[in-house]
Amino acid sequence: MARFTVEQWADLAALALADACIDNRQVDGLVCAPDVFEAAQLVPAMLAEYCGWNLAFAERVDLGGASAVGMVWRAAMAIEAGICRTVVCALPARPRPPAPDGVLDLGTALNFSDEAWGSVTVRYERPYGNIGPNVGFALVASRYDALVPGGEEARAKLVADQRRSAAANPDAVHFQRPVTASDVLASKVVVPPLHLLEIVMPCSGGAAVVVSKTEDVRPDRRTVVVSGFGESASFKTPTYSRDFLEMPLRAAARRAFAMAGLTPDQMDMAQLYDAYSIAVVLSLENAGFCGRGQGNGFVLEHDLSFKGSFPCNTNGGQLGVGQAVNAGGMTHIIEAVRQIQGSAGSRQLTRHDKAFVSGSGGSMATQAALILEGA
Amino acid sequence: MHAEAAAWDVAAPFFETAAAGKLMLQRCDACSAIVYYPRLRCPACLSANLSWVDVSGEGTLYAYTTLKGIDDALVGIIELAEGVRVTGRVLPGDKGKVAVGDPVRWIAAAAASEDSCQVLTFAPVGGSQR
Repeated sequence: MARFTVEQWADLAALALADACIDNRQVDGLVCAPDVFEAAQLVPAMLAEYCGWNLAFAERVDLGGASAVGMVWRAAMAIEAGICRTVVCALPARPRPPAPDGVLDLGTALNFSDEAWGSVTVRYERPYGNIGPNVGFALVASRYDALVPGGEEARAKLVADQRRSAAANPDAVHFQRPVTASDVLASKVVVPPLHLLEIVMPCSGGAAVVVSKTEDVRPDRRTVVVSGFGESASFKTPTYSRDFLEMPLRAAARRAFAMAGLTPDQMDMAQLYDAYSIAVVLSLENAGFCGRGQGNGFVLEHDLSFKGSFPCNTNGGQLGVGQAVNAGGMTHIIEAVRQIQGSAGSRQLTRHDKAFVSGSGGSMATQAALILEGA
Repeated sequence: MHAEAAAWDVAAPFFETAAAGKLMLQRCDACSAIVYYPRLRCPACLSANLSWVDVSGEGTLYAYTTLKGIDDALVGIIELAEGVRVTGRVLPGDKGKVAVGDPVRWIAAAAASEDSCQVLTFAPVGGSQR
């Protein structure tokens, strides 16, 4: 049923708090994103009022698909700093009740924000068709393919690996629907060089996590610790990035690994933001799992499914699960937590102590990294 | 759009000179950075002293894709000889195709129409061989 996003927030918070066995009265922090559409301002206060919370930490994060990672590390940082103790982070993405004729719908208005008066996109991007993530990622992929051979084959294989994991995930849009690399290559080219099956399927949904002090976690579950994080943003449109092969994730991941005192080869899994196949290839390189220009080779040399030598997007990733707008970014975090806690069911990894998680907003513009470890 | 220059519009000289057949971008008086898109302040040093200078209109195709179903138009990112990147429309080469790395040149005619909003239109130099 259609619900206002403030109502969805309450639903998601209730689910996550129940899963964490934490009483609603303990909540003293929240982090939201710009996907609450019943107000443009004072949104955390509105959510606190609706859910009955007395907040010491009221935060809003605006990183697109990287919001989930950005929310969790801000929550962890606020707790570490002693500001608060129990923080809910939620991303609603279910259908909303349609506004009657003549009534302003804020969500619809914000979806056209690239056309706002004064927006640089209006004059320097839109007239040429540089609109939306499809074109942005295709531009990035065209550059990558011109510099590194074998991209089409590697990306098709990557999608097939992830769809194999999705086939084992009952929550995935593509549950029990594996595809082969040939299927990917045979699918329609939507934005050259990207095929239909290299692009996420939009879906509705929502996701939430609770970040709390370690003393407050339920004793029957393994504690998952945020041991490192990083973030990087310096452009919105890839045209104005410094180098297509040097994505913001490089700096974000470097900061995260340094903070955790760990290296990429110590990770048991990588949950990489995958709105498009090319994003995974570039994330493998920029996070340091392989060198610059080695992403295609790395994909071809490893089985990326949950059964494989390099478990990557073990729930199928967004390419397998579907993308519920910003909540899509949270699915990577939730999968990492489930794997570390040993509750990933039939796709459970045998080594599951350390996870690298990435987030990406826009066309690989705002990127963030998280390192999660089982205590 | 560029018919009347509004006092608030820092980009007016870009659109006006392009319509007159000349490509001009801003250069920072303080740090010499070439700036695109037009701004009130230099993104390298935040100086507010920017001057309009002629640029060559020559560059290379940095990335591109095809807008399928929209006349199969090409949207590209062009790295200008002066070192800045721009988003633009790319006309196909002689054989109907282009490739990353192709030398391209700005086509003044596309900016000449008063209604043109595709001011930055480029064509392969000598036609792409691909």
